[in-house]
Parts: sequence; C-alpha cells; structure tokens
Amino acid sequence: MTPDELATLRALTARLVPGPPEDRDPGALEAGAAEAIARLLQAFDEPEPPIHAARGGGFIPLDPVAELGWRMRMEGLASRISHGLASLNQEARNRCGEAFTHASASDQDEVLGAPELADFVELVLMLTLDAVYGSPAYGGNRNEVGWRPLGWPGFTQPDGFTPEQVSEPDGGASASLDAELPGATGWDVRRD
Amino acid sequence: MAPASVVIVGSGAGGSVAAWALASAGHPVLVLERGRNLFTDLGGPGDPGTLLWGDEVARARFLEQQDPLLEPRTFRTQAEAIAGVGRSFVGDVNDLPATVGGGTVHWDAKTPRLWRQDFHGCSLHGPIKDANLADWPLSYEELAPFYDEVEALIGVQGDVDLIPAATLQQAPRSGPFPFPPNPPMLAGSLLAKGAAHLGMTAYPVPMAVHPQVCNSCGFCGGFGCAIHARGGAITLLHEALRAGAELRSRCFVDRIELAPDGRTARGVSYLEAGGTRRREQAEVVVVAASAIETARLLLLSELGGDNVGRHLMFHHLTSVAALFEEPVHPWRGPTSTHTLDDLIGPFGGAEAGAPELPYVKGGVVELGSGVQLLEEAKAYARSGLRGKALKAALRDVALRDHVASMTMIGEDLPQNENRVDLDPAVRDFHSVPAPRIAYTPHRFERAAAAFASGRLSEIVQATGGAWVASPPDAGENPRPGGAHEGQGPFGSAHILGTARMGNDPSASVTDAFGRLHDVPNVVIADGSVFVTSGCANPTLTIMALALRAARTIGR
Repeated sequence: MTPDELATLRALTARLVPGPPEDRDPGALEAGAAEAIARLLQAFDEPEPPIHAARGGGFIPLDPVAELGWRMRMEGLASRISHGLASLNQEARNRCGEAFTHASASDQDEVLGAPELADFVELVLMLTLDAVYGSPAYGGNRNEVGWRPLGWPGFTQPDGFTPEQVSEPDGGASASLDAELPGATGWDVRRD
Repeated sequence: MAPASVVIVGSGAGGSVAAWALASAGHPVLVLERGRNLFTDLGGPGDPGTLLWGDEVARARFLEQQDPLLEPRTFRTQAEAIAGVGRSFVGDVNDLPATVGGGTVHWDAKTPRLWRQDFHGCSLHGPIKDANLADWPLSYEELAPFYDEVEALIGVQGDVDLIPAATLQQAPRSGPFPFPPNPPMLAGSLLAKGAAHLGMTAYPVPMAVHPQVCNSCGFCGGFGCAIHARGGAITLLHEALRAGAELRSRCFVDRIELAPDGRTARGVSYLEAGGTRRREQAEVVVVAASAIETARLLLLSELGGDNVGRHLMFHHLTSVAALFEEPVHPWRGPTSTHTLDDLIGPFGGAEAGAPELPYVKGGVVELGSGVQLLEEAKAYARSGLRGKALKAALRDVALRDHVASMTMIGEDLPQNENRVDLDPAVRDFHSVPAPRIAYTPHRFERAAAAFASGRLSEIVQATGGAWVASPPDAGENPRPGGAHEGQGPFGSAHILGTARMGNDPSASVTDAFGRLHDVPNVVIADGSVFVTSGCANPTLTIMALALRAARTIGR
C-alpha cells in the first residue's frame, strides 16, 4: 500500500468510525484501524501472517491448505481495496474538486453515499469494525480504545465470571429505550 | 480371529466415539479427517491442548470452517431444481467446522435426548402430505443405554429433579446426570419466570460442560473452548489415540473401494493436502463425515442406491428476542443455561393456526442467549448505521447487554427432493465435484415457526421489564442458515438424514445399525442415518447411534 493510499484509507475509516472531537470516544484513527487493515492486506510479507491470532501473542501458522485459500482471498481483497480507494478519490474530485483526504467531513460523507461506492464502503466498514472492536492482537483496537469506553472485557480467561456475575444483576446503564435509539438500529420494539 | 481393521472417515461426534469404542476393544483404527488439527497435544499424557480461544475476528476467518473458496458447496431451491437452474448460490451452505473434532469443536454442547415419539412418529401421529415420514427401525428404549454411556463419557450436566414429568415420560432416565448445572444465566432465569406465568416449565439445559472447569467466560457456542470445559469429540479422540488409534488430518477420502464381489468394501482412497493419492485397506469402513459430506462420498463411490442424498434435513430455527430495560449480560455464560420443551408438540393443526395440516411439531427452546460486541457492531452496520450513530448505538442501546433471544430448534420433515447430489459444474480445490444442496422448507416448518413465534412472544410479554424486539434483518422465520445472510437453505447447521436407516432396503440406505444394505461392511455413524430430525439438538443422539453401531462391529 502506498503512503497516499494509506492516508486515504485513514481518512475513510475515520468517517466510518469517527473519534474526537466529533464523538467523545476514540475512533478508527485512535485504534489504528487503517494500519491494521493495511497489515492484513500485506499478511504474506510477514513470517507469521496476521490472520488468526494466537492466544497470548503471535499468530497461528497457516497450514498449506489454509494458506492456499488465504492467498486467493487476499489477492481479491487487495485488488478491491486498491481499486476502491482510486474510485473514492475520483468521486471526491468529481464532487468537490480535490482528493478525498482534503475534502471536508461533510463532503467526505457525501462522497461515501455514492451508490457505485456502496460495496467498497461496506467492505471497509466491516474491516474497520474488526480493527476497532475486535481483538487488539491484530494491531487495531490499540490499547483497547474500542473496548474501554464501552466496558467490554474481551476474552476474560483465566478469570471468566463468578456465579454472581452470571446470575445476578450488577447495575450498569439502562438502555435508552426511548422510541428513537432502537429505531435507529433498525430494531422494531413492540411495547404492547 | 484378530479384531477387524477399521478406517473411520471423519473425526467429529460420530467418528470420535466409534474410534474410541473400536480402539478400546482392540481394533486397529485409522481416522482420516479432511480438516486440520488445531489441538496441540491430542493423544498425549496431559490435556489435548488447543489453539482455539475467544477471538471474534478469527471466528469469521475460516479457522475451523472449510474455506468456501477451496471447498464450496452449492445450493438451489426445489423450484429452481425443477426449472433446471444448476445452482443459485456457491459458497458456505450451512458449513460446520471441518477440522479434527468436527462440529463439537465449537458447539455449545447442548445434549437433549430425542423423545420416544420421535422414533415412531409416523405410526403415532400419522403421515404428512408431501413429506416422506417413516418410523425409525429402533426405539428410545434400545438407544437409552447408549445415551447413558455417552453422557458419562463426555460429562453431561443437568438436574433430573427439575425436568418436567412430560419430558421424563418421553425421555426417561436411568439415573441422575454426571454433573450438576452451571450457574444460571440471568436473562434465562428472567425468561423462565415469564414462561412459568404461562404454565410452561423451563429447566437447566443438559449440556456437556464441566461445571467445575467452566468459568462462564461467554466465548462458548461458535468458539473453541480455551480451557477444555466442554466435552465432545475431542474428549473421545484423545482417549482413542491413547488406546492406539491413529489420526491423519488433511486427508480427504473421495472413494470407498470395493472388492471384486461388489458387496464388500476393502478400503478407501484419499487425497493428501498436496494432492498425493493414497490408499488404505480395511476390513470395515466407518463413514462419519457429516450428512452432506457422507452423501457426497457415497455418491462419488456409487454406493447406497437411489435414496442416498435424499431426505436432507436441517432443524429450523425460530428466534424471538426480548429487549430488557436493565442490563442482563447474556454474553456471560455457556451461551444459554435454560431450556423448555413446551413447544415440542404435537399440536393440532387448527390449534397451531394451520388447519390444512393434521398436526404441527416444534422442538426444544433455548432461552436467554446474546451477542458479543463485534457481532453487535456488525449487526448495526448491516442495518445501515455509520459513523457517530453507530457509536451511539453501541454506547446507548447496547443490545449486547439488553437483548436475550429464545430459539426453537424445530423439527424439519424429510422430503424426497430435499437432497444432496454432485454438482456437475463446481469442483473443490482437489477437482472433486462439490456437493449440491436442494432445499425448500415444508409448510409444516413454516406453520410451526409462526406458531412458535407467537408463543415465544407471549413469554416475553409475561416477563417483567422486557419487550418483544425484532432485528432489522429478521426476515422470514425460519431464518436462513449459512454464513451469508439471506443465502443458503433455511435452517441450522444440524445436518441430518441423507442416508436414512430402515428395515426396508428399497426405502432406506442402511439397516438399524448403520450398515449399508448393499455393502454391509460400510457403517454410517453420523447424522446421515436419522429417519426424522426429531425435536432436539442431534449431537448426543449421533454419538449414541455411533456407539451402538461401533459395538456391532466384529460381533
């Protein structure tokens, strides 16, 4: 990945999962999401491709069959990302006359709404979520910035949870069950 | 006479128990598994070791599953098959783990038994039009000692005193469970109270989880257990290898070879990872590759007759979610700790809102399971949330803390045209034809799903502080299986019925002990032999049938 491509990917992930000041909690930039995605795309440059994290550090080696599949998958993925980033910049130039990284946040959001970019944006969104809310073992979710504000414990072995933690209420925030928020998630709540 | 040499195809639930029983009885046993081995010390002096742990990212990256780029399956509906459509989908069609240990590597270890009525439902309740119901060639009573033995081998927990009388009448027990239940999960306990208001009885779900080892970390169903708190195929493979069985991973059997008489198998032919072909002779071939792959192997070997591949069944899943106002952390615990049997039935068709059917049956219900953080984030993303709104939802709605689901594992009727055949155009990375699945649910399953949705919604309404909630992608009930939303057949990854057992060779593939009618030294020891899908998760029954089949070998 070229430095320009990485910069574009950083700007894109920052729109998909924004951090401060737009949102109070760390986002994709703070989590190192673009760098983690770039690392995944270059997985086979590393002696231990960072595809399946091992417990306690490092990665589970691919066996020859798994490697065959992942080399095929990675070829397709790298090409989709590289073409997608080029299309993103083209769309930005068409709409606002400059590269995506130089556009304002609202212009960037407008570019992301272009129907022909939908598949690419969806792909990067899913990779970004892996790299913000998935295990830090892959290089994203740096210092667990995706987990800490949400109180998500991740993998809790060897402690797990006590019988009380499993069986009893332990406080925490009530859900905002006003009409809007579940609605925004697409969930339908029946209150009869 | 020396004990017969045995080759076992597949190392999952059925293959592992057969390997253990046969190796312990002194048979030379070779297990061939097409997947890789993720257990570092299998057969060694200590515990089996594992590379698996609680990582939501790896789970989606085919660590245990077959890679659909290399080993695709294809799919079409019955209507598409009639119209001559070759396939409408290529990829993951209800894939299970394809690895040493098979599906039990990431099961949530639920081990309900089938009911008495499941074994002779056709005689008892009558046939259903457009389905091919039949009685099993064995009774609950004949299988019960093997249920007992498997429960002891893999370590099942439960509380016989809390099981409703109706269940004990249908699935009688000779004694208590090996272990007491895990700590009950909060959401399940709350829903159990709601169910009680309606006169239904929830109780601790029997499961192969060691309550003194399990610490309720929550990375259970869908994940490999990092601390070997769950029993399953690995428990038995570990002992089988210690008893002298040999295991070779990444060995894909694509042919059962016959002696010149055409009625006796003499071994198998298989491909190693690099494509090298090998042969292995054996006096008995046990096939336990899971129902889709077992059918594929029989078809590739031209064995078993015209019934091979037919009557493919998936349990259909009907889910209703409860949104709790207070956090109920359903992500802590072994996926679920409560079950209820009140929706098994049969219910009269009219009572179930399906007057065109003589009766409707559902299945067991698991209460109170949730999602984890990454899964939640991706669900929001799929419903269109982006940016700040997505983050707000993770923070303020937090479905992971507030939504607990109830899921019915519903009976799926056997149909002639729900079947596996060999795809004429799509091949795997070894150039072997891919299995092609044709599947359309029967109106019986749709009626049961609609009926169960209503009853499950009533449970939520009877539960304080909770509302019935439907996810945006709920779509149809029963909901689709497979890794790709909206693709693949409806149902679960409970894959059953492609080599049904029976006493009539013209209407079945194996006898009551899993032996092929046409080649009796080929023994099927997985979910393929199920005559009906029954009311409950199938793995305990698969293992009990495999143990029973293994015990006939050499007798």
